Amino acid sequence: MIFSSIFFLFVFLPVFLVLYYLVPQKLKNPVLLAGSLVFYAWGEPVYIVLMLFSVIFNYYMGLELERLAKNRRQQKRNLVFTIVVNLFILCFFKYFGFLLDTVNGIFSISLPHPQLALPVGISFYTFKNLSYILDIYFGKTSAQHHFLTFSVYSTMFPHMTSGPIVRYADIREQLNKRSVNILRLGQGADLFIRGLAKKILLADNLSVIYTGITAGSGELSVLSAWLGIFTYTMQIYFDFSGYSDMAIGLGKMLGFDFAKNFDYPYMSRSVSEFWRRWHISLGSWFRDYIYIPLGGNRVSAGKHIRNILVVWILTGLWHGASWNFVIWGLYYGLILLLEKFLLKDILARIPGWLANLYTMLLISLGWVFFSQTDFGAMGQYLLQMIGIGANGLVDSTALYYLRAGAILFIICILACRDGLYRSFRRMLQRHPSMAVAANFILLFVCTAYMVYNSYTPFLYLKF
Amino acid sequence: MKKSRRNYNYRSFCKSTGLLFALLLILVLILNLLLPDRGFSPRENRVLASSPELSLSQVLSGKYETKYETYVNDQFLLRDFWVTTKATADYLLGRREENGVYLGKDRYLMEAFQPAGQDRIDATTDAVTAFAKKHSDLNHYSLIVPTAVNILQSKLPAHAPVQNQNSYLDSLKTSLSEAGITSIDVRKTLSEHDNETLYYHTDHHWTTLGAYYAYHEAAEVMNLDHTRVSFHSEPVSYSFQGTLSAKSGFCSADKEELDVYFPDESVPSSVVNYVDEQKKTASFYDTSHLKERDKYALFFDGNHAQIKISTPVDSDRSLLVLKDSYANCFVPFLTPYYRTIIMIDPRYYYGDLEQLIQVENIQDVLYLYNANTFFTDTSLHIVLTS
Repeated sequence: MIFSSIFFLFVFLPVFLVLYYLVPQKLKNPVLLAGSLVFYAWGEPVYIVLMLFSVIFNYYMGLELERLAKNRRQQKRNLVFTIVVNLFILCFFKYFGFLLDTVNGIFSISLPHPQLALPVGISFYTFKNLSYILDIYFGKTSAQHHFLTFSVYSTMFPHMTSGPIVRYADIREQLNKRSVNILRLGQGADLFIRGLAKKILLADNLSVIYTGITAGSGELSVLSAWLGIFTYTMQIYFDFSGYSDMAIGLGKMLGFDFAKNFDYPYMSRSVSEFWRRWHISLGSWFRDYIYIPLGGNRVSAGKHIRNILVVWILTGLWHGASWNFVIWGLYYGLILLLEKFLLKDILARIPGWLANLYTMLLISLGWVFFSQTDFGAMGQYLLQMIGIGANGLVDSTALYYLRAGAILFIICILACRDGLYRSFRRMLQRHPSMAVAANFILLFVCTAYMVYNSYTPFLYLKF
Repeated sequence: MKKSRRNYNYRSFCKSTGLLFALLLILVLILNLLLPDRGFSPRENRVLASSPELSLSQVLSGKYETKYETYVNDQFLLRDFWVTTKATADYLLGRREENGVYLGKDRYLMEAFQPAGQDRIDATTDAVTAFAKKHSDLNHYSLIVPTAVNILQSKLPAHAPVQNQNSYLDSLKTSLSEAGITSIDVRKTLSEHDNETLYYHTDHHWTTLGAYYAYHEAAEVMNLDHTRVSFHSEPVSYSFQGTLSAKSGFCSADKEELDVYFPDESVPSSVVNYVDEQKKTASFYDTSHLKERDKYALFFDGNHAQIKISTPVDSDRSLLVLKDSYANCFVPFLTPYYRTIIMIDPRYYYGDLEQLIQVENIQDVLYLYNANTFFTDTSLHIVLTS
């Protein structure tokens, strides 16, 4: 099930919320678990078995790790086993095909492999469970002895499918002690509506333009290529951060406080800053569980460089099973090294807008690596951006979409910085009813878009 | 402003948002449950999904869930209203295209030209040329009507990235003329009249006026003396709203005029025989459709596999028209010149064309399509070669 659908918003959510709010405190967790399982199983019931296995396995191993706290060697062996099993499941479903394709490519053979559908949210729940296991091992938290409570953490539907990667240690207390009230419901609804609008009104409309620009015969003009990557840059931010907003909003409605996952990343004045503001829960996961255990920056320069590159190759791979994501990760690894050792002082001295422009150029370029899974197409796109093999400087496609998208682009540029939200907050403090109205106008328009998604006029009789 | 006041406003904002959000969701849920399900949607021209049957195997395979979501979407309250709202929001955001339909100047809706791949077009063209060579004793004509995006290019949104129809029409014309098929090229004639209403604003069809001008051009080429019969037009409806309006959601309140052309001098009526349906009428028009949404079906009751028109004119000529719906408002103009006109719609026709030509003693063959259907057609070559 996805949040931005009529079924979720007008069937699942009201039924679930009514139940959740009406039952007494001690039944809230069972209801949340049941709701999460229905949410997950809806439309793809098979993989719920896999998810349940993961829950039971990590619950049990968590207890084991805690029991073995005195016996460090035995504990370490158990830890390695737990990590291997978790990663094996993830890799089997996510990277097996990719691995075989690569092997086939290198040796020019054709080992067959089944086309497995990627279980929804597997990257997110695997990382979530791993953080739980590792936190126990590092002594940052105790294990959860109550199975129901652990399974609520592990399967909770708001952050099940697309994050944020909420850590057990951060919400341990809330799992058993949280309150719901109209105030929190409102905060949650406010966040949810904003996220929904980002996803549906901005990201989905940008996606139409991006497809329109790139769907042609492959020959883009220089302006089209830049417009295309600008559109993609905006689309991916509003899509992802919109989804995070909805997840955090839903969490609030249920009485949870999740940390924010995006903090206006496109306002950053360096790429390092960008990665502190973009998908924060993933960045901090890699920092805490890979980078720092490897020694972080408290090692020799050579090892430090190795650590950074390892983290970024893995970050790339996490985003998808394809070589372009490795390139994309490496690209960031190299830029971060460059910034650390060379550019840091320069970036601090130049005007903010220039540093932001520098950052946005590099990030936009990064999205080319990210969006093009085929190396040939990637190279062609990059060359067209500088005019090689391009269909002239400007073509009618570029002019058409520049005009058709102008208003949307302006809204996006405003909305990816904090100014627009600040003025919303000001309005809220002076005229709360106007802010409420603004939210519900957004919800109204979003509903129209969601209904339209299923609008399939059948027109063969037309001719 | 004092801090307490701000805090008070923030709390009141949260409370109203939360309360309204919850009430709205529950209200919509209840209304959706209470309101009766709709069956057929005239606007979408399809039967809307009904509540799926619950069974364990369907649930486990995930099919039930998918069907149920479709059902909820299809039966969502005020469905048509939301579609219009969405198109309006897009319009305000600057978008001028929806579902492959452009909203041009003067509120003209125009469908993008989306030809099929070259092999499919070649298959059709080869079948037509082979058929002409096989029947070299017949006169072959083709009238492929350019669609609104071509003739009314100047009304498209600026820089709209539409495919050029002319190159397709030109290359077809060349291939056909090599096979001895005479092309009736109406582009020039229609362009000369592009300030008149040659195409409906809300529909993908040409108007009867557009067909009338094309008829003049066709009469020239086919050696029919069009000065012999004169026509006058009469509006039969002012409330036509076509498929492009439904498809895009734009201009959903716009209504327009639908005209029918009648000969000035009254002529004895023809017999229109809907062969498969075994139904005969004395009129080219089925006015019952004027009460429905699809008013264009007024012309020959919409599309049928085979329609045989027997006219009272003193002639021994017979014409075979292989066609799409653009022919429906055009063919009446040809009735003063032929004793028999057979209209075949290859999309629905499964009969034997060779036999038909023999039995009906056909002398002239006319292909009448609009460019959009012709260059995406998949059935003409089957009818011609089987």
